Amino acid sequence: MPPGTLSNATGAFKAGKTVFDGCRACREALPLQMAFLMLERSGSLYMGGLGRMQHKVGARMTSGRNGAWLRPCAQARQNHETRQGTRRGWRPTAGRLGLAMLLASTTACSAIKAPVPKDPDELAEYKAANDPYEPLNRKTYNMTMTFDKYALRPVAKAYVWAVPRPVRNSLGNMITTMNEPSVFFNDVGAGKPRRAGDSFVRWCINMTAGLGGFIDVAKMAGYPHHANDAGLTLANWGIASGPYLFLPMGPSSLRDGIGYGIDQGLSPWNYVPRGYGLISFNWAYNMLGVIHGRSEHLDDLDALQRDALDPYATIRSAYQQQRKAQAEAIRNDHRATVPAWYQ
Amino acid sequence: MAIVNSPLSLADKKEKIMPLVSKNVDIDGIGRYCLGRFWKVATPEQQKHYLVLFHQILANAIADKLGDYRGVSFTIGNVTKSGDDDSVEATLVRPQQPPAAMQWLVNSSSGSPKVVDVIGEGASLRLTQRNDYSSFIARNGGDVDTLLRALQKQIDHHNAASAQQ
Repeated sequence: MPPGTLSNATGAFKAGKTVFDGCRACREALPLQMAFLMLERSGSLYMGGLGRMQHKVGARMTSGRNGAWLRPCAQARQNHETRQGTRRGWRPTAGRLGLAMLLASTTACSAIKAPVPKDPDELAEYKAANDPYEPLNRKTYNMTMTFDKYALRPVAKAYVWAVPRPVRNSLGNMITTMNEPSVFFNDVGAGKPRRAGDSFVRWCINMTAGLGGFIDVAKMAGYPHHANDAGLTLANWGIASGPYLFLPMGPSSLRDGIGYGIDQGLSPWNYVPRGYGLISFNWAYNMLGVIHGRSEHLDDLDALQRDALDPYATIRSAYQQQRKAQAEAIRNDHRATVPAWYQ
Repeated sequence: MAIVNSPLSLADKKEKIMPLVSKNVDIDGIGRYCLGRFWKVATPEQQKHYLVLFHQILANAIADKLGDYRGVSFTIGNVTKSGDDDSVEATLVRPQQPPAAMQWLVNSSSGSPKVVDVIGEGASLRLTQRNDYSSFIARNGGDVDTLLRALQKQIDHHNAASAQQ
């Protein structure tokens, strides 16, 4: 069967499609955003705390490590009250101003939109790539890959090194099962009762017999997992993908990005009353989702970055083809609603 | 298949596999497709040079994968018409890994059936590769020579890496 050997060679090229699968991207995104939020929050706390401390110190101290910085404050003690007043308001504003300037400069320095080519062949390629915001997307891509190189990938490698394969499989099953409600609602939304039934049964079986999702009993019983997300549901409603976007959590599009937001709303974990360790669970679940998801694609992504001349373009192409194929697979799923054993 | 699964050394496997690959895979056709709109732009020398490099790249990619594979098997499923080509559904079963579904596009216009594309989970190998190459050329001022140099570098890199092993 010689042609098969060619497919062996496709591993590297196929990597792109598996690298970021839809629901994984969703899971990946959440903790990232949360991490950014936390950073922001702790940053402002830190700034606030520092500010307060320096007010106190400024009133007493005129020299030392902070002396130079605080001296004007101490020297003009008459104006101390007003100075303190202004400074309190000034610090966060400066931060915001800096951020605004940073944003403005990144926007001004390079166009967000790529110029539309004139040459007909080039234009055809430009249209096929569906990536009018390429300059911005490439920036995000570079940022994400830098983060991946120095943070996510090493952590994922450590995870693979430290946790044995069977345990990782169980954790993977748990993550998949916990996402099953979101898949279910999307199956319903796409009007595919058989698929919805599958994901519903998977949830029921795995959460009970599967000990909270750690064992994929449903798969053994003939209900294997299928992926679905709101981006695909929207695609089945005939909504075009819109321009390709590379978001911090991976390749996406306007439609899939919106779908991601909808998926967050469909996850039942957001509706459980606060407390009862839910926040810790959410954190652990999402962090684990990211690390586990990344660890599954260590070799794929390494191979892709080694073999592709332009990894960004390769990922873009593979992602868009794969999303199209996924949406088509759902559209063409006309299986009977009654299971095989009943007929 | 027997060759892939045999306990032969990598070099021997490669030697036995490559003639079969060139007989059953339309490497030139895939190579032309992958160069896309730049095929027309390239001079005949560049085209020739490119195809030589492309053959080597493909051989290297196959050799890389061959070493990993042992105990694999294929199941061949339905054959459907897809445009001018026949689409063959196949499932690659590897030990301790989930089975991978793929389609092979087979074109018989040259007289004998030849594989022209492989589609793995919705992504076409040749289309993805074409986008990689054309984006690379376009970002390097539309110069095909930059691609040839990059491919040569990849091959050198690969040879150096395999020489070390």
